[in-house]
Amino acid sequence: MPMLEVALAFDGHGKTIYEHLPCGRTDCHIPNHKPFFDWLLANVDQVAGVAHLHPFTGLAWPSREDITTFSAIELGLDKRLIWPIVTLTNVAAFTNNSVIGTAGGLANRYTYTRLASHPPFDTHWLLNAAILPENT
Amino acid sequence: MVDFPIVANAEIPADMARLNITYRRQNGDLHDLVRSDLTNDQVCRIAQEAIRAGNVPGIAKDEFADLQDFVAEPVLPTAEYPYHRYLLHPKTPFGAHAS
Repeated sequence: MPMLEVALAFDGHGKTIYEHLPCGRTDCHIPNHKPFFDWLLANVDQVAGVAHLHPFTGLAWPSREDITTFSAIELGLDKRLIWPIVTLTNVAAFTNNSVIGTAGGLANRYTYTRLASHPPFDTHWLLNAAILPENT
Repeated sequence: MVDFPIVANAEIPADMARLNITYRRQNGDLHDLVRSDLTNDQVCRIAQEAIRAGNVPGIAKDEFADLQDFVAEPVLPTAEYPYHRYLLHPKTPFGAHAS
């Protein structure tokens, strides 16, 4: 079944507050999309995390592109977020415990550790939204 | 001390650009103009140095500023903004690098 990468932003209760479905997605990539950052910035007090789907089976682990995007968005927002990753068989969430705007924050800008448990969010929406209609 | 006059927007030459930066919930324009043909990396480095030095009005000095994962979006002149601009913001792609 063909699928595309998708993402969502959720609040502190796990409620989906933004569905990220930009044009140009592929089965392994979500492109740069300034309106997504603009939305995060406008809603920074509500956003607790951003989850995205890797539409394949296996370990849920961030790519280099993922890690550098996590870091950049958090610098733009001046806020640490939770970054769950969903595969067809696994879920894991990552976060950075260093403080933005400090020497430690700069040195550890790419140090994301896996949380022991992931926060609530809508994994079903991610899986369903990723499925391409057959006529596309 | 020398005062460097701020170039008025209407007087910005065609080969120069205004650099707008969004960083840590703050937004500001660099006083100095930059060339309009810079690479993304060059724009990021200029902005990073300016923030580290405290030279961007509207953005607090941050000696640990790190903009290497930001994107400089070039914007052509419009009726509202009749000069080249760069809008610098955090990148947002996920997954594998785009080919």
